[in-house]
Parts: sequence; structure tokens; C-alpha cells
Amino acid sequence: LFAHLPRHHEVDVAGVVARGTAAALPLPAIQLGLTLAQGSLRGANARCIAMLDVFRQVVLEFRSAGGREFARELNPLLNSVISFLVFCRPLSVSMGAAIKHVKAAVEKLKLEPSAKERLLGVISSFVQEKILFAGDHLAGEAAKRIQSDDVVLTYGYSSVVAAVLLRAAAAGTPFAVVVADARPLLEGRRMLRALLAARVPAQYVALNGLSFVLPRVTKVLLGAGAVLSNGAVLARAGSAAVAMAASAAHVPVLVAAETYKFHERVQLDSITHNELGDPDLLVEMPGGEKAWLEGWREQEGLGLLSLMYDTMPAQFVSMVITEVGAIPPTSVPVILREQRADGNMA
Amino acid sequence: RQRKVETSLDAAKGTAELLRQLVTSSRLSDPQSLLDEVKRVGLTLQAAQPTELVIGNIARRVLHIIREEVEADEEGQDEDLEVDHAQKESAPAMGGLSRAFRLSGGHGPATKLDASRHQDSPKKKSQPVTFWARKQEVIDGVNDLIEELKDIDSSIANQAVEHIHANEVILTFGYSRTVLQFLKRAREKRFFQAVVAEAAPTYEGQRMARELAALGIQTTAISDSAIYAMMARVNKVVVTAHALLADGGIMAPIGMHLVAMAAKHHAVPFVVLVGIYKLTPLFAHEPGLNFNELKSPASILPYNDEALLAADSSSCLDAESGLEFDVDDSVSTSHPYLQVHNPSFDYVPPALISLFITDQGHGFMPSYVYRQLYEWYHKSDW
Repeated sequence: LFAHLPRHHEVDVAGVVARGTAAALPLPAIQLGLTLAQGSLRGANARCIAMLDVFRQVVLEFRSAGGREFARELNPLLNSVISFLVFCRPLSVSMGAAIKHVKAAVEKLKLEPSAKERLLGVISSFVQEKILFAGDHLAGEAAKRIQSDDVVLTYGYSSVVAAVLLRAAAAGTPFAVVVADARPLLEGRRMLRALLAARVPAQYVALNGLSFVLPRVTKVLLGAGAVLSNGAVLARAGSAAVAMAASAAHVPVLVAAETYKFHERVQLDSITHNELGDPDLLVEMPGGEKAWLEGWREQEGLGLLSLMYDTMPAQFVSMVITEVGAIPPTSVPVILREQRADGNMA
Repeated sequence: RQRKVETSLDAAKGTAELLRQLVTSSRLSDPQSLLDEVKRVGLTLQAAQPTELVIGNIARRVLHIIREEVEADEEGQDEDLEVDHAQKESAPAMGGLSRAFRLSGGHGPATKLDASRHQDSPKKKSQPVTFWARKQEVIDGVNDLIEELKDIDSSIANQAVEHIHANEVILTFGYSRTVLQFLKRAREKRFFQAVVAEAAPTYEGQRMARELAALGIQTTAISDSAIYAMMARVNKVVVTAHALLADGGIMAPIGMHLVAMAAKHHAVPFVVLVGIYKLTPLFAHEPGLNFNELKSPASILPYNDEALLAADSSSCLDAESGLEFDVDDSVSTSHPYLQVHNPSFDYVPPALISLFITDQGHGFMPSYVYRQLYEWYHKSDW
């Protein structure tokens, strides 16, 4: 069923060294790769920013041999960094967008003495404009949509959603949050921590208990890994179920995403594009209960599957909130078209 | 009450055997007081475990059997029959009853009844012959019921081959002996794959995955978060229910509503395997029905979780209770405290269910459930 998706594999220092190309890779790249592989760094924005930081360091350290095109020398290095990161963990759509942007800039900067500085500028402005400022502006706009006595449901952890909720809390609006969470990642606990620290009344429930809490929820706010051209939203596995249930209960579903996460591809279901996570994370049982799946590899016919993402169709999404405004999911191609036009003109 | 009885089937068997004991050892009385006795015992048992609806179901089945016998024997009921007051079956005797319940028809109630018999003011009993016949029929009826309970899983499994076809991907949720037997029987004739969702917070699905694989079925275990995603490649959902409600909906382990919705969205048939003893004349939102059981929040969020510890230090939680477990419907927006919900059951409306397969030898639609109630229960017992 999942032959088209790369299998999950263990990545550790020994494996990296054994790969042989490690010597040529800059240290920050190796560090990031291992961090990503272990899952300590997750989230579209976080991974993208970390990757761009590695690029920044790579460019900074880069010594051109002089006389040749900047692009021709830098590209192989950049490519080897990227392919190593891919080896450690498949790229997110956000990372892909950043790479596309940086590579386009590299192409344009030919034999310029200030090419390095210019490129560093491009990288830093991407982070500043597309991620940080966009997120900040988005948070402000979205926070306005949270009204007094709202009960906002969210799922797992999203840096964007956290920013929105904390902004609304800081504005003094009285509201409560329900955090739904699921295994194996249990990222919702991170959201819970952030909310409790900000003294926002919170409820915590397992994803399965969604139908139990939904009657008390007034709106749903979700983050996204990517927003696709057909209005579908790619997000952490389990988000689609939240959107589905909310939509069936006529609760508005708001997806908060910066425009750099928009992508031209279309996706009809959650299987065509996905990522296989570490199956062994499912084996561990909380509270020392019996782990039935221990030693699952030895059992003939038994397999474990951990999907990282799922895709909710546009019909479940009421509104996508971006830094350029709130749009219905059907208007995503419009934004993409404008982005393409901007790219051509720059 | 002590939850020593594990599954619904055991509860049903225990109740049936207890009631048989009751009917057998009850002294000659008019059927109305026998009905009252059975009803009283049934209510007491049900109160001990309010979410175990099969207790009430079995009691109603026995009442139905008795009423049928009464109707079959209209004439010849004498008013001078001895009345065996049922106050012995009340609270003080509960100990004896629950002991018997656990031992599946031990000597508890018999000895209690024996003792009470001596205390009874002796009334003249008359017409013993006709009532004996009726009572024996009642006992036979209850015996049939007990036999029926023994064969639930295999009767349901008999229909497996009709419903599971070659190379299908079957999704199931959590652990169920019934589904296990069903798929095992299908495996004898067909090759198919199974996907099992682990079903938090019990994670019984993991055990199901293991046992299915051991039966030679290609099984994939997934977490609940992947159910929606996987549904795009599933051909059929086969699950069981805790209770079959009067409107054709079901009471099922928490999370089942999401499974049913995902199946509906992807146009995947949602098939529920259920023994007819689980059919209850109650609706989900009846005032008397205690629909849900809220368990300890620790299964969802452990007491030593970082989030709680951090919150505690920033004095967000109520100082006295630490972790507040609140069943309140309203959400307070001004009180900074943490609520953790851990409900046990979900309601799945009939519109999301494609088919019920029962031990009575055929499948039927949720819309037919209401008619089934007339077959198994008497209207006055609903």
C-alpha cells in the first residue's frame, strides 16, 4: 500500500559516518540532520528556519575558488546538504519552498563580488518576511477572530496556532481551549504547557474523545504543514478527523498558515503524499502496561504503520487565515498564481 | 459492581443463570409477583453496573418469556396462589445475589429464599398443577436463552464468508472476540488484509493486531490518528458494539464515532457485529440511562506529566485539588484550571451504520432495529 513512500529508517551518527560523504558535509548540516531524524525538531516553521540557518552558515563559510560562477561552485555543496537532510528525514513543503527560493537566488547571482552578501540577505529576508513577520501578522489577525467566551478546539501542536492563542490571551479576551491529542507523538501536551503557562483555561482530551467534547466547542483552529492547490490541507495525522467531526457538527474550522506553505500540487487523499514515521513509537505503552506489539517484527504477518500526516479535503475547511488575509480554501490557487507572478517579476 | 465480570457476554450469562435460579427456586406464586421479582432483581443488578446494559436486556428477555407463558395460559389463573414477597431480594440480600452472580448461580439466593420461606405466613396454595407447567416452560425458555448466549460468536461467524471477499482491506477498532472469530472464519476461505486501530485509551487494538496476525491474517496496526488517512484504502469496517440502542444507533468504545464518520466520508460500509442480547429498548439520551462512564484522567494525561508540573509551578491549577476532574457541561472562561476528559463510550447514530450482523442468522438495517424490539421484549418492560 505504501510502496511509493520511502520507508522509515534509523539514522544515527554511525550510519552517517558510514555513508562516506559525511566528511564533505558542514558540521551544522550533520547536526541538523540528526536532530531531524530523531524527531527532536518538528513543525513546518521550525524545520524550515533551522534549515535556512544551516544554509546561512554554509554560505558564510563558503570560499569561492574565484573566477568561476558563484552558482556553479555553491550548488553542488548546497545539493549535498539538501540530499543529506532528505536522507535523514523527507523534506516538508515549507522546506521545499525555501529551497526553491534560495536556489533561484543562487542562479541569479553570477559572478558578483558581493554575491555572498546578497545571498545571505536573501536567506535572512525569507525568514524575516515569509515566516516571522508573516506569522506575527497572521497571529494578530487571527486573534481578532477569537471572541469572548469562545471555546477553541485545536489538535496537537502548531507554532502558528500557539501564537494566535497566546496573542488572544494577551489581549485579555476570556476564552478556553480544548486540546485534542493522539499517539504516537502526543504533541498536544506541548500546546497544553504553553497555554497553562499563559493562564488560559484548557481542557485536554484524546482524539478519540472528540465527539464527547465537540458539543461545547465554538470553533476549531488548526495549523498546517501545507495548503494545496485544490484547497486541501496537509497537517499532522489526526487533523483531518478533527476537521471532519467539526464540519459535521457545523463548527467552523479555521486553518492558520503562512502563504509560503502554499503548494501547487493537488492531493485527493492522504495516501498519495505522506511520510512514514517510526513504527516503533507505537509499541511503547503508557504507564507500564503490557506492550502487545513488542517484538512485532518477529511475528509473521504483523506490520506497524505510523503516518505523519493526513490531508483534509477543502470541504471541511471554512477558512484559511494567512498573512495576506483570510480566504476560503477555494481561493488558494489565486494566492499561488500571485506568488508565481511575483517570482517571475523579481 | 466490583467489575469482576469482564465482558458483556459474561454479564449476560451471569444474569440469565441467576434469573433461572430465581425462577426455579421461587415458590409457587402468581406470575405477576414472579414478574415483579425478576424486575426488582434486574433493576438491582443493573444499578450495580449502569453502563452494562445487557443486564437489563436479559432481565427483560426473561420477563418477556414469562409474559408469553402468561398469555399462552390465559385461563386457570387462581387468585388464591401463595404470594412470595420479594423483600428478601432487596438490599440485605444483595450480598447473596452478587455472590451468586460471581459464582454463576451459586447457592446464595437459594439459601436466602429457603430461609425466607420459613418466615412466610403460610397461605393456602391451590391449582399447583397448571402453574407448574407454566413455570417449567419459563425455565425452559430461560435455558434456551442461556444456550443462545453460548453460541453468539459462532453464529455470527457463520456469516463471515458472505461478507469478506478476496483481497479486501478490513478495518477494525480495538479488541473484540466477536470480530476475531468472524475474521478467523473468513480467513479459512479467503485471503484478505486487516488494519487495526489501537483504540486509545485502552489500546486493546494492539492485542487484536497480535491475535489476528497469529491467525495468519496479514495485519497492520495503526494509531487512531491514522484512521482517517487509512480509510481511503479500506474496503470495509467491521466492528462490534457495546449496546444496540432502540433507534438503531450503537453505544461503542470511545472513538468509534470518528471511525464511522470517516467510513461514511469515504463511502466505506460500516458493519456492526452484535449479539441480539445487546439490543436494548433504551435510547442514548434517555434521562434514566447513564450513557457514559468517565474514567480516571490519568490514562489520558499522567499525573507526572511536564505540562502539569509546569502549570503547578505557575500556580495555574486549583491549589487544593491539583488536577481537577470536572464533569461540568459549561466551560468556565475565567477560571484557569485544567480539565481532562476520559469518556469510555461513544454514540454512533444509525445513519452512519450500513449493516448489523447478529447471531439470529441474518443481517439487517438500522431502520429495522425498532421492529426487532417487539420480537424480543414485551412493551410493558421497555
